[in-house]
This record gives sequence, C-alpha cells and structure tokens, in this order.
Amino acid sequence: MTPRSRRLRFLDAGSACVWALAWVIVAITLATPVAAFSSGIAAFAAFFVGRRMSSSPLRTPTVVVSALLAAPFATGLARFPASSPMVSGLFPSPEAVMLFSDFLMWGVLATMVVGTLQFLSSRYQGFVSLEVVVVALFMAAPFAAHRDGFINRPYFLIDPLWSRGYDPVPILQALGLFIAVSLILLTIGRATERSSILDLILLALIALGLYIYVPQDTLRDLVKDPPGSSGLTGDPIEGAEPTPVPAAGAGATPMSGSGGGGSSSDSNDNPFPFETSEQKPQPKPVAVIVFRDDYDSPDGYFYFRQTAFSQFNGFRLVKDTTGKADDDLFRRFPTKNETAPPLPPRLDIPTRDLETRVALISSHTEPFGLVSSRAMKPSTNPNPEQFERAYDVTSLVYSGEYTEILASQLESPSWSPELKKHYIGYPEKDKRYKKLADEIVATVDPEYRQFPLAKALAITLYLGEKGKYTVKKRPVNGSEDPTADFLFGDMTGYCVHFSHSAVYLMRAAGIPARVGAGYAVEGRNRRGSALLVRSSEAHAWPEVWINGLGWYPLDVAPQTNLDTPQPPPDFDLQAMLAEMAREEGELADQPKAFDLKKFMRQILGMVWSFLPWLISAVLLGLYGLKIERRLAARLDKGEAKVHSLYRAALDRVGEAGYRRKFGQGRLAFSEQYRQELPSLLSLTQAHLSVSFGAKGESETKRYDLVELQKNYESLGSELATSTPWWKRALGLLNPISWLMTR
Amino acid sequence: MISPYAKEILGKLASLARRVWGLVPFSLPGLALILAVGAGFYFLGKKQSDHVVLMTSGAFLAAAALDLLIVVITAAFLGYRFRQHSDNRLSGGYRLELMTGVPSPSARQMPRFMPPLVEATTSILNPPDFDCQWHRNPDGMRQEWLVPGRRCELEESFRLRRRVRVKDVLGFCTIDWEQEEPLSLRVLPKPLPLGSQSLIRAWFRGDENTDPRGEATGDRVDMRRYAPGDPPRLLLWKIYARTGKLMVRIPENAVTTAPRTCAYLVAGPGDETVASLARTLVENDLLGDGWRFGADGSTSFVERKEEALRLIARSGNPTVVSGDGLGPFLKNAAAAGFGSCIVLVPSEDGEWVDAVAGALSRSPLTVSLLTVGSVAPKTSEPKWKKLVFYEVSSQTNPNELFARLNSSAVTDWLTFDPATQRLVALRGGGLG
Repeated sequence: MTPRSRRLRFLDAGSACVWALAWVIVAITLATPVAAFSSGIAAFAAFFVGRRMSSSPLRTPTVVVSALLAAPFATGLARFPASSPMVSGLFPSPEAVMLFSDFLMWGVLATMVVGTLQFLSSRYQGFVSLEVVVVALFMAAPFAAHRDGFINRPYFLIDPLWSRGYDPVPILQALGLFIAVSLILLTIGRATERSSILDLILLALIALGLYIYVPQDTLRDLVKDPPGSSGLTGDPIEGAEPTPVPAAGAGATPMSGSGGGGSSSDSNDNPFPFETSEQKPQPKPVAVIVFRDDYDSPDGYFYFRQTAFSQFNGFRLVKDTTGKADDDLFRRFPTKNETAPPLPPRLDIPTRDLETRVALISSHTEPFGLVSSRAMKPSTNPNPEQFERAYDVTSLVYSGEYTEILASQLESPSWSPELKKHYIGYPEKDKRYKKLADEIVATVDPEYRQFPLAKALAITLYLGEKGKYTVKKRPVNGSEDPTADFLFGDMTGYCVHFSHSAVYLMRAAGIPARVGAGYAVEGRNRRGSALLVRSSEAHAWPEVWINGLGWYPLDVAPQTNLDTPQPPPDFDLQAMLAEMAREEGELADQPKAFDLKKFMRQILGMVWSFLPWLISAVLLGLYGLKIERRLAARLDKGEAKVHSLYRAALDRVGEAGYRRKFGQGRLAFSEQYRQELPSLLSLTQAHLSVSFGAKGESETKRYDLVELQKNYESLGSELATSTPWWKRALGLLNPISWLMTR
Repeated sequence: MISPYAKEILGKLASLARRVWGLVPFSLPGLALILAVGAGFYFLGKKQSDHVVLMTSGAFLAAAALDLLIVVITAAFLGYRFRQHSDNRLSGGYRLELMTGVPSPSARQMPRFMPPLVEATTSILNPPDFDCQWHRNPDGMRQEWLVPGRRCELEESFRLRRRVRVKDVLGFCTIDWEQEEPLSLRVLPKPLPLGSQSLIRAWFRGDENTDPRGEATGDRVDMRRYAPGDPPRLLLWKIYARTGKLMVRIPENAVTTAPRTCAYLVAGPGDETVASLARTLVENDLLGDGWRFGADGSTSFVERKEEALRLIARSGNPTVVSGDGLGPFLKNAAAAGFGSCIVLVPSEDGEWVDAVAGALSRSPLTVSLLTVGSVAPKTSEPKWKKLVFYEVSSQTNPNELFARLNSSAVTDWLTFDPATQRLVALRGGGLG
C-alpha cells in the first residue's frame, strides 16, 4: 500500500465515522441506546461495503432496486421477534425483545441507507451532494426544535446546560460548527486524487475562525430580506400568517384575536395585509418584554403599538402622510433618548410611568412599545446572538376603570381643525356608515349619551356582539371597500375588519379615532416581569384620544370565534429569554454563562501572541546556522577548512540563485559555471580531492589552503560581476538560502 | 431524422456549450449542493433562527467561497503558464513516441507548488483513449505522463487537444478549458511476451523449420524439447519416463509449401492485442525471410521492420476504415508469389467482419487467421446474472468469429489466449 492510499483510507475512515455519528444522533433521539449502537456500527461497516460493491460489476439499478425492495422486508423481519408471541417468549423480558428488535431494525436501516448511498456516490460524483444533504439532515434535525426562537429546546440538550448557567446559543452554534466540519470531512477528497488531510485542517480552521470571530448576527445579516415586505417584522411570511387566539371572556374584555394588525413602512397603502393569510402551526417568539415594575392592564391585555392608520385617503385608512398627525409614534429605532410630545396634564385619572425593556428576537421595521409609549432609549443588546436589538421604553399606563374616564373629551384641545378633520375622515359617500353609527348611538342610555366615550364603547360592543371572528376570511376580489363588505355583510372577519369598522363608525358618529397596530398580549401570560410576544399576537385595534392618556385602545371583543384557540406561550422559554434580556449583573443571582467563544478567543490570542516569539526564535536559529557556516570557513583548520570553504562557497553561490540540478554532480555543476565562476571549480576540485583522494598523499599535494582562501575571496567578486546586486541582497536576507545549495 | 449537416451543427453547438460551461467555476453537483446549503442558510438559519443550520451552512458556504477563489486564481495562473509555455517552447511542435499502456512523460509541466484545496489535472481529448497522470519529477516539478490506450501515428498538421481542469477538494468548483499543441505522435502497441514463439516459427517461417502438423508415424525422425503450444500427442512419453525431460517428435523435412509468408493486420474494435501480436511477429522475425506486411489505414505494403511498425501504428488512427485493404493486399501478394498469408483480425465482432469475409472468399492465397481470445468453452450465462452484473468483456468467442470468417481459403485458425499468454491452434468443431 502506498503512503497516498494510506492517507486516503484515513479520510475514508473519517467519512465512515461521520456516517456512524449521524446515525447515532438520529437513533439516540428517536430510539434506544441499543439502536444507536447498532446503527452506528452498521453505518460504519456499510460505508466500506458500499464502496467495495461500487467497484464490482454489479449493475447500479439492480443494487438500488434491491435495496429499496429489501428494506421493508428486512425491517419487517427485524420486527418479527416483537410481533411473534412464540419468539418473544424466548426472551427473558419484554424489554429484551424490544431492545433486540430495535437493534436489528436500526442496524438494517443504517446498512441499507449508507450502503446504497455510498455505492451510488462512489460510482457517480453527483450523489456525494445527496450524501451531504442526508448526513446534514440526520445531524441537524434533532436540534431543530430550537428554531423560531425556541432556544429552550430541545429539552434533552438545553435543560442540563441552562440549569448549569450555560448560554445555549453558543453551544448550538458549536454543534453547527461540528456538523460543518463533519460534512467537510465527508466530502473532502472525494472528487480529487489529492491527499487532503492538510486541506481538511485548513478548512476546519477557517470554520473555527468563522465561529469565533464572526458574530452570528453579522452572519445572519449577510443575506438581506427582499424588499417590499409587509407585516410588523418586515417579514412577509411571519406577517402573513397570524394565528388567532380566542376572544377573552364573554365580551367583558376587549377582543384579542390577533389577525395581525399594522404594517411596516413598506406597506403604507395596504390596510388589509393579512387578507390572504393562512394559519401557521406554531407561533414564534418575536420579542420579550421585561417589566421594570409590577403592572396589570385594566382590560387584561397589554397593547404594544408599532404604528397607526389615521389618514383616510378617499378609499381606505393609511399611515399619516401629512407629517402633522400621529406625532406620538416612534418611527425609527432610538439611537438616543427620544420622547414623544408632552400630553396635557390631567390629575383626575390614575396614571403612572412604567419602564419596560423590549428585546427583539426577529427584526422589525419600526419599534413598538407598551401603550402609551412616551420615551424610548437605546440599550446595549444583552445577547446579540439571541436578540436582534434591545431598547428601553417608558410608557404612561392607566390603572383605573373606564368609568373614571367616561367623561373624557375624545379630542385634544391642541388639535387644529385640519387635524381634527384628519381623524374623522371616513367613506362619507356610503351613507350606511352614518346610518348604522346613528342607530348604535341611539341605543346608548340617554344618561350616558352625552359622553363620547360611551358612544365609542357602544360601537365596539355592537361589533363584538354581532361580529364573528375568523382569520380565514377571504377578500372579495375587486372590492372597493372591504370594511363595508364586512360591516354590511356577514360580519365575519378578523381584527383588521373589526378595527376599521369600529373606526369608521366612530368617525361617522363624530368621534376622532384611528387604527393602532402592533401586538396585543394577554395579561395572564406575564410571569413575573417577563412577557413573551409571539408572531400570532400581531393585532390591529381601534383607538380613541383621551386627554391625559393620549391615544388609547378601545378594542372589540367578538363573542363568536370560529377559529381554534391559540396555545399558551412556553413559559420556560419566556423566563429564559427574559433572563437573557436583562443586563448582565442586573440581578445578583443571574447565572454566569460560560462563554465558549470568549474562551476560544483567549486560547487563540495566547497562540497569536506567542507566534512572533516563535517566528523570531526560528529565524534567529536559521540565521545562526547561516553565519556558522560562513564563519567555519575562516576558523577551521586543515582538511576541515577545505570542506568549510567549499560549503561556504556553495552557500554564496546558492544565495545568488545558482542551483545544482537534481542528479547533477558537484564537479559537473562547477564546470557548468566555470566561465562565470572559475573559483568555484578550484574549490570543488579541492573538496573532491580531500574527500576521495588517497589518504597517504601529503597534504600539500592535495590542497593549498592559501590558494583556496584566495579562490574563496575571488568568488565574491565573480558573483558581483555575474549576478545583480539585488539578487545577492535578497539571497543574503534569505534565512534558508543554505538549504538551496543541496 | 437529422441530416448530417444539422448533426454537425448540433455537435459544434454542443462542443461550444461544453467549453463555455467549462469556464463556469462550478460543478453541477457542487452548484446543486451550494444552492441547497444556501437555501438552508436563508430559510432555516436566517428566517427560522436555526443556530445549528446557520453555523453549518455558513461554514460550508465559507469553505465553498474560499475554494471558488482559489480555483479561479489557480486556473488563471495555470492558463497563463500553459499559454506561455506553448508560445515559448512548443509552438514549433515536438515528437512523442509512446507505447500503449506504458506511461511516458510529455512536454507539459506544472509548478512545484500548488495552492491548498485545489487539484489540477489534464485529459487528452484528441487522440482518444489517452490517460493522463501527474507525478513529481526528481527535481520536484509536476510532470504530465501520458498513457495511451490505442496505437496511432499522427503527424504533419496534427494538434493534440488537451483539457486542463482545476477543481477543488470538495468538488464544488471546477474550471476547465481546452488547449492545443502541434505534435508528431506515434504510439506503438506493446509487444507481447509470446510464450509460443516456436509454434509460430514452425508454422510460418518456411523451409528450415519442421512442421508439427506432420504425421506422428513414419516421418518423425528427430526430436526437440517441448515448447508451449506443441500438440501433446507429439510428446515422447518414453523419453520423459527415462530422463524426466519433455521432448516432442519433429519431422525431418518441413511440409511448408510456400517459401515466403505475408501478414495483414485488420483494424477494428478490440484490436490492440492483435496489433501487439503483429508487432511481435514483425520485430522477432517470426514471419521468416522475405515477408510482406500490410495493414488497414494504408494502401501500400511494406517489407521492412521500421515501415511495418509505422503501418501497425497508423492502423489505429481514428479515421481508418476497417478491413477494406485486405482484398487488394491478398491479390498483390498472390501476384508477387506469396503462398500463404496470416491475417490478424480483431477480437470483437464489428463491421470489419463482412469486409474481411468477402476478401477471404475471393482470396487467391491460403490464409491463416489469427486473433485474440480465450478458447475456454463459454458457458451460457443465466439470465439473472445478466440482470445483476454488467458484462465484463465484450470479446467475441474466437470460435464464433472464425465460423463467420470461414472460407475455403482459410486453412488455419489460431488464437492468442491472454490468460495463458499462449498461441493456440483451433482445431475440430466447425473449423475441421
């Protein structure tokens, strides 16, 4: 066996180990340790069997079809002991039968899959790609549960880590790095004859460098989202797939059906961004809110406003384009302390400032904060690998009952007539709005009819009573006013329909209103100071202006919900994310996470700082050797001096770029350059004469040291004539020029 | 039905497309894998925040990007070096004399140092059936070695067409391009270590040799040591019992009627070993004195070794039409007084069979047919075996081949058995 083939076999063994490991990972997550053991061993062996078979005259289709046909049969056979009472009776316990069956079945499966794939990829290069994809799936799939921000999963991995204070994200990344190196090991050298162990090391180092030095958010941001996205997060998929939650209570609390609410700045003209929505199987976390103080919303919901639709453009409500309205909105993420315009003070209702931290998990186009956000300031991202960004919000929160604000005027005294007109625009051409609004207002108890807020509440209650909530509502193609279709149709729709209907009816009743958009999260989901915001909680709601409070949600609570209830949030995840979102050291008992990256950076830093010293030492040694060879020519005596002079002469010649070819004799080399370097010939002859000459001859016959010394010195002038100075200078600087003398 | 003109145009377009694709620095499986990994990076890693997939695919894509960079730089550098070498040293052309199956160095070299993660290889597109290997010379330079699989002689305006390929160790990226160089090329078949030379000598060399086909009684007056290929019935077992030496009876006088022998090599599929046999016959003087040799690919005949070798080489050229020169050759040989001819035929069935059978049926000379193939009886393979295994060899059974070539002019049938390296006379069966 040649050294080359030995090296290739080493890589083959590595590839077989990767396959075995992939099966062990899959089997250990889906079956028993016995299955993992058997599939690992079988995959390792099948790798070589498949490769061996590929060089046999077996027909490819025959092998593939046989494997496909034999796999169900073999797995059925492996299950036989468990299914046959007679055979299972031979085992000491039912567990033993199951273990034996698992052992057989996983072994057979691994043999079939690995053997066939290896057979194919050895014959056809293209199948290596399939092999890589399959191994990647096998190795990465068991950890897929942490996708969409659920970093407290998979539990078998994260629970032990988190309980010991380890941040799971770097561990998951390290796993990714390990899989990448495994895949490179699986692929490398398959397409070439090159011996690739050094290449493997190089690629592994590059992957390690990527892991240590490139932050994951940078890696993630390498690929930008496509333009024209809509939804709160700027993500067309996330925004387009709201999952509803049932209306809370029997109309006692505002409706919390999230059908998705607002829209990003890119979807200015689309008030119904979710009309083609489909249900998403699992809502994903988009942010975590950390409350700095205890607070319970009076209506049981926390509203996080991102944007608002207040301008009626003749067809529908859009974001304000005048620049004069909705000045309470924060349209950009804060880069410094930013505050909303002050509200007229009002002492007769209970309000207070509440600080929250918003840590965004998925990217958003605009910031959102708890209603009513009065100030925002940037915050250091407490965990850049988990959070997209973080910022602190100060909100003015109301902690009283509606009755306390019932008498409020629903317009600000500071509004100009144009601004008031801005907030009461609606499709006036459609007389049905005005008519319905009047009918609803007429139902209000005369005692309260003087209060605009009572009228607004009557409208929301009407919609809650008559409307049916579902996100499966499809728009009427080409409809000019979808809100009218909803309101004067079957009244079946989701939050966008309800909020627009409410706002149009309020405006028809002369009450300024707008549609707020963002997230609405049930108050009962809060655990301690943590609240998880999920994509399914995207919401749109009607808002009215209350002096002293600003724009305030007056949501609709549909009593009929046609959709399935939304699952509760993962409270473990909520707690974990909140802990990450808090600044380090903020809580005394916060576990200190072991920073794997930092540790590796330190190790590399140590190597890096040691490297210059190592290089300097090596250079010093090499130059020392070079000088020693030169000095020996002066210091040696007798025969040794003859050799030293010749060696030093060869060094000088080598420095100047003269190379003895492989197989060329010393004498032949000297004779080749006898015209340019005649002195070299004399030195060579003396060296050969001393080396091979008869020992009995007198020294003076064999060499003349004085003459040789002269020759050595004249070699310098000969080199100066034959070689440009820069070439000699470069040779002099070269620490390993003496290696070139051969 | 596609017309030949359209076929030619399509062929040219396909060749052009192949060249253009060669400059795209990705392999098809590599491109598919990069797209799959890229999709994983975006949809799982970024959109679904899968940290494992993000890191895996990110590292994999980084490796691919590095590979791509190195492959492109190496390809540009090697392209420049190859062109420079062609312009400076090989523009006037050079001559290569090679032997089939034997690696020989060409004039191409690559630098001692190659960057990591890449491999550069070459393959010969024209002439076909050439293998390329790269080895380090004693002085460290990487040297191209050519291993021809088929004999040929290509001179004058011939240009060797080579594909240079630079690819990465992961198989993602590959760049290849074609380059040509003027060359005078002769590839001779490899001579055979013929273990039955005495048989051939006995058969074809003429008067001074005995004929083992003589009767076993009466005219057997001498003996000699046994040589492989001698019929066992001529063995002198009594002498073997006494001395332990295998001896065979030989007639005192030869029965060969023709004073001179000629030979003709028919080109066709699977003819390399037959060409080797022809070379061995010519080089080892096994055709006796005053021989004449002809081969497909040449209308003339030759009577000197060096010229015969040239004809043998030329018969392997890609443009040679199989079997069309045999008829005129036999006619000329008969006119020149040759009594017998040995016709070396390919081991595989092909279009040449009809042409040769026609020429043999009109042959004025007695003909000995010589081919390559095992004479072991071929058992019919069961059907399941055909389903499970690829056919290892397409070699036709010599008996079947000769049955198709049977004619009154053919007096002897011989085959060279590669397994035993022996020349075997086929007797019995349909061949009498």
